[in-house]
Amino acid sequence: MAYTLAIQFEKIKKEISVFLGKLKSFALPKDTLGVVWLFTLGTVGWLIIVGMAAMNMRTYLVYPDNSAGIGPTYYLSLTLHGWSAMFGVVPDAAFAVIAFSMYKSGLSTVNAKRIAYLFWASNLALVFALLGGPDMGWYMYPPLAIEENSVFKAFLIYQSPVLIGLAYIALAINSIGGTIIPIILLADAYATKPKNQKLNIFAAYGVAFAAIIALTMPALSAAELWYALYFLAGIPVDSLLWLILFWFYGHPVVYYVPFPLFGALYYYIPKAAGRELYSEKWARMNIYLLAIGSMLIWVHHLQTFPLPVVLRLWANFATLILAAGSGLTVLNLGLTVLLSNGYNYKDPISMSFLIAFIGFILGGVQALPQPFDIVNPIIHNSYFIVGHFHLIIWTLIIVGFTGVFLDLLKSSNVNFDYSKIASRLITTGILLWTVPFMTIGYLMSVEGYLGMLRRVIAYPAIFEPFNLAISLLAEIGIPGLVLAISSAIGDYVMRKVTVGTDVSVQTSTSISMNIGKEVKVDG
Amino acid sequence: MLAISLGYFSWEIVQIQAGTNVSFRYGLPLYSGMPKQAQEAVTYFNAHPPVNHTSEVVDGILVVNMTAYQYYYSPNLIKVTPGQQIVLIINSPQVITGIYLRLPNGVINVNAVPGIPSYVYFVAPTTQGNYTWYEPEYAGYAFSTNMTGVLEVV
Repeated sequence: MAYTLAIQFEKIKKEISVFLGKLKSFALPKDTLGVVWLFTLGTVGWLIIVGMAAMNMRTYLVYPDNSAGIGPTYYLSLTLHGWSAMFGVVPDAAFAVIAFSMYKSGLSTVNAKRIAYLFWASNLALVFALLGGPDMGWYMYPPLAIEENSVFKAFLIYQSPVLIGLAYIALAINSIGGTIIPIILLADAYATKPKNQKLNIFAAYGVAFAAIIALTMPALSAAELWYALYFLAGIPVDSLLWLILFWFYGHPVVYYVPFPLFGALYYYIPKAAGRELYSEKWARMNIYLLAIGSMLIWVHHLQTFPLPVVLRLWANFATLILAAGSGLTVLNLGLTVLLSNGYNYKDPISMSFLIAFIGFILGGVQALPQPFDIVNPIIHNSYFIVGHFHLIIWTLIIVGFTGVFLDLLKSSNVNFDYSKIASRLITTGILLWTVPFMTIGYLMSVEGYLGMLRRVIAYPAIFEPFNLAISLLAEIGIPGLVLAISSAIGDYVMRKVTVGTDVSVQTSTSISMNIGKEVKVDG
Repeated sequence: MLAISLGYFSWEIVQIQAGTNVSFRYGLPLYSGMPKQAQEAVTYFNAHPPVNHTSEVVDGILVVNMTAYQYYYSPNLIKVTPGQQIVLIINSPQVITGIYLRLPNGVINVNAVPGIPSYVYFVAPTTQGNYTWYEPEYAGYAFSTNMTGVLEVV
């Protein structure tokens, strides 16, 4: 009996040791695909929190007469939703896509361990800040975000100046991590780029926008440190200056994931269309338009604020440059699809990128009137804006990222391809997600145009049917994404067993060379 | 596309210098974003503040000095006649606030930052009635439940 127990104990001990070994190799990956997996899992983790907080808010919003007593709970969810999305999902997803683009171009993350340490520091710092119960909204506008009195508490749990100061320092650690990671990715791309060989279009976008992240993220760190210094050293905060500093990051951040995904669209859509990209030259030139436009556009979010005319004029010009770049993307990809002999609708990866592309067009069109001074006040701070940017998130970002994830699974096992049934289920799931959320986006925009203001918990009764429909459609759409992702993972696990490959995800797909570079095995 | 953007940008600069650009002249929450007669009314109002420190009709223009607190407006009721010209000077001493007023002939939507007044010029609707304004910027828990006001056209 004792002998059997000892054997069992040894067996369990061995299994735990194997599990811990796998966990360690996952948490501190050594190769590019491992880095992609780490950031992908980070993205999914934050996305679950984002979705749960959103559905909590949607529950309150079906009732138009919420009292101010609901405020702390609602705005805690709002901030949890916003911070998890903007400081969690966005950088993690952006770095996953950028690292994957490098992999697809034969580049490699030679500093994988350093990147992993920064991943953990950055994400855990965000967790620490969130544990303080922030409820000032993701914009963190001053002086609301530094207000701590009987009227308003910026943090519901951290209530001493030292704790609040530390929370803002934690946020700064999060954003400093988000600055250093793309710098390392850039250095790794430079170090492992084959001589006399052009990067493919996916990696060209990935690497270019890693640079944009590294250039603009420090503005957020500065804004967060300014708040920390207010609490820890009594340094006053100038509201308008803080806003301008914040938006130098706050606008480009909305492109951190979309623009590397533009590279993915340029890479995958021509393959699915069975032809070359209509103009690779346009696509490469476009990087400059998008990079310049996205960085210099920041104050177009402040049209209803008392800003001088010269800044407004500049913001309009930068917006037009950006619109030109986005228009060029639509034209280039549109011509690629329209002039092809047939698009591969059966492949779930091809379908993901096509849906992401169409979603970008339908969501992006709503942005066109926004930069103009005389039109902007009609929609500023209304659900029109919420509908617009969520449309881009739900389609280009989430569906596009799903496309990258689907190819990541394929890249993680050379013998794997999606079965016919799984392909159908994935495509069905993506459509089941996209159609309701597309409808939600337009419903939000219509109610916003009619006067439904954002961030409210009490609103005129005429908007109640809109909000009921939006909450209901969200309930219908979420299972679609779950269906798509779980079908892909299920097929991957099942077929992995069938083909008998049990090599780990992190190491199965790359062949190490003596110069420490990986060789891509797909595409 | 870049050429079109540059052309449009240059044309706007020419229009601003000539004083004919509508987009950058009217509707901005700036002193310079108001018509000349409204600017003169504000200048007079500031130089000769009324006894109630809140509102006064200057050359046919009703100038209202409004303050947005957490969580109420002072004043929160403005009575006007149909077609009355109005200027709002909005101060926000505590946090960033604003005003969102939907009228039959357009939307008034501006923000106010602590330490910097915002200005709005508009004309009251010609139809009698009560028009409710809302606070559009997140100014704390009760910004949407408590912070409203009424433009009463009588």
